[in-house]
Amino acid sequence: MDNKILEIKDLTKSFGEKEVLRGINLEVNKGEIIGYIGPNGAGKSTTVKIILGLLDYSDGVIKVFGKDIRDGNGAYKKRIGYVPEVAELYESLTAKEYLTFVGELYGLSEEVSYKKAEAMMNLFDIGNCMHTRLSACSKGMKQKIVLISSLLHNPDILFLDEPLSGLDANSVMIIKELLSNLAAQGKTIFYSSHIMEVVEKISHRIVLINNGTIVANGSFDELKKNSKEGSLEDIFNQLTGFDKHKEIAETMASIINEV
Amino acid sequence: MKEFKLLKFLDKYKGIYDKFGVDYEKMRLILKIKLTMDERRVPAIMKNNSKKKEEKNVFVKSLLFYAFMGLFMGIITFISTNKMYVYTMTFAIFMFIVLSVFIADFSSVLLDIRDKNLISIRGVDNRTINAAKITHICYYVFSISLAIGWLAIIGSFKSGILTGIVFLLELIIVSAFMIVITALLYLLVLRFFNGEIVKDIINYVQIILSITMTIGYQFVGQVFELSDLKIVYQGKIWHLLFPPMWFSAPIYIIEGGNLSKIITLLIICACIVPLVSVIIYFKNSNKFELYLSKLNNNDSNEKERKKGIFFKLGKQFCKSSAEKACYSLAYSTIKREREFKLKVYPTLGFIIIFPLFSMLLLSHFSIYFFVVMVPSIMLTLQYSEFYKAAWIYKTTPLINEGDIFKGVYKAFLFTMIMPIYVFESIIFILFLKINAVPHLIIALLFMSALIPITHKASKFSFPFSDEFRAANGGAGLFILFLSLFLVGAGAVLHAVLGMKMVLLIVYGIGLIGLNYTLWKNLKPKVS
Repeated sequence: MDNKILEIKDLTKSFGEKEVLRGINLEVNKGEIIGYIGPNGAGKSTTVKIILGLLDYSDGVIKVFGKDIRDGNGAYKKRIGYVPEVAELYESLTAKEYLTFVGELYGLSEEVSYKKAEAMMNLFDIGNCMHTRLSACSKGMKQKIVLISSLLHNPDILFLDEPLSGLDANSVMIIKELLSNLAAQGKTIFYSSHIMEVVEKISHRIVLINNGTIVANGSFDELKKNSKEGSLEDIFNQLTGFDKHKEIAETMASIINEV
Repeated sequence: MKEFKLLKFLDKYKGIYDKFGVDYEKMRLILKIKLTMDERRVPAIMKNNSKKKEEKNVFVKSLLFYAFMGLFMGIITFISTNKMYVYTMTFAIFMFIVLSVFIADFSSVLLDIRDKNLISIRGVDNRTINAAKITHICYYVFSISLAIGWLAIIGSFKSGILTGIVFLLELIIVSAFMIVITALLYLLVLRFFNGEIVKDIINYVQIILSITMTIGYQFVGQVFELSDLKIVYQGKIWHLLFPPMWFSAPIYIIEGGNLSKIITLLIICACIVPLVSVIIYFKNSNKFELYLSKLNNNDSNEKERKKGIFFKLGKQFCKSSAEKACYSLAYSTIKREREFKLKVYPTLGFIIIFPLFSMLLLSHFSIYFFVVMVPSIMLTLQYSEFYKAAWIYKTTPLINEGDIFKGVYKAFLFTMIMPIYVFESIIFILFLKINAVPHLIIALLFMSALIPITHKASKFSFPFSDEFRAANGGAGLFILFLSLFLVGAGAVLHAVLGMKMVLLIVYGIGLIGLNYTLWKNLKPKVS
């Protein structure tokens, strides 16, 4: 059986005049954790949104589970879990209502969704918020609920966009551990974040995107060898051609002092 | 979550959905969630008296309210004058209410971009999502239509079985027509403008709806007097531009009217236009989804607009930089915050119109009807949709907290109240001649002094620092009585001193002095 879970060939996308993706080529295998990084506005979220069918794309081929996503009516999405960067929720629903709704959309029964959701919420230490409206939940609680909603249906691929934002250190440890656990089970994880330390630690392979193209693709050790830099942060700076952080900070400091 | 009757009803027609390739179970699930959320939403029309108690039956309550409005509309159909006029009026009222309600309360349903992000990523196909959306909207519009039209339907059946059937049929067509018109309107707006403007348009419709509802009731009586006239219908070519006429034409024929050329054209319009608009809509509905994503785009740069003369004038009266900052903040909030506008602008419409009613009777003194409302509007300055942002007052070491209030009240006076006061004054001068000018100036000075007095007499929290709630009745009532008392006294004093011009001038100078002292010594009264 083919090990390739996701294949992207020459993917391009423009918003009006602006070309956001300029030929993305990427292959992802089963059980891999991909760290998808890049500067703000490089096209990370756009790529993920296109794979999930939230955005249309200009040209190229995307194959998920070996099938072109333009064929069929999006049934492949049933095997995908997604945590968006900014998660919009139906905030007038309670956590229970929202989670069972999502579970049922994926085809689980109401009882099963509820049981799973409840168990996970207890493990996340938010079991007492089961009947709280989402509008009354804190940022961390909402993030946990979004994470749970992406996992209920036992997906084969996970797309996580800053999944740790707003979570406390203990929850972060749970998630990190959970991700390597899931990868060991053969699930594929597409992890996109700005926190380099985390990406460095958990990713099997790091994909760096800049200006709509992939500029680096390999394990952390490979990247380190190629660029002769010590940390992922430094590699990131080098590959995105950014070396002015000192000057900019100095100028800023002097502006602050002016007043 | 409870089981909804609508869903049980739909279960019987599952076959129809299956035939169109809709995943019925998924659609049912989406509808169930939507209906649950709707129960927790407060319709615009009920917003003014919404207390945060039980969430249940808000929709049922609003239906009762529409049914009450339907009472007035329905009575018309019992009048046995010329049916063309009767039904034109009925359809005009009906269309107006349905369209406004639809824009005010269901825009959020039509323009919900969360659906795409939350549902389509779970592998539910677009056809099913759209079917859920259409069913959802139709359910509401038809229940509202029925609530408004109940008496009119009875009235039409009383005229004859055929009239009743045609009327009922037309109500359904008109409702569907209104849905499509709204959707097309949004399509057009979204095509050319960004999301922020669309939100503004919805906001203004809501404001107009509130004003019309308030004022509309004052006129119901007069409408009936007009309709007592026995006029023979004369077809005019411009009637073709008036959609309610299209739909009343078929009934006119059934009721024995003459089939003239205009009437034929009207009937054709009634059949063709809704059909064509439905076709246009379905041809463009794909684009609709595309444009909808614009609502999410935050690339709308607010243009730095030129500040008006009132803004510049008011700023001259601000001294410290804190005061100036608060002045600008209040100006932007008053202009932009939708929630604030929805609460306050209807009252503004009211204070423009109310003095005009009594003007002929009370001459220039009726401007005090304007003045008397100002403290009540002032009360709303405490509230904001983004009330949580008020932490900034606490973390900034302002030298004088009174400056916050001074700045905000000055912005309130100059950029919100003054423009409409001047507008009102122009109407007064047109009717009462130039003699009214000194009196209007006196009332203005009095109004300006009233602001610090109201502040002193009541306990306002920091501007924009509290949540909009059902106005805590106590404080609102107190302010209303206080202002009635003060303004009453002011108007009497004005009347007495107004007998001699010299005395009036002295009074005016006194008011300027009073203003100066009061504003200068304005202090916070925050516990």
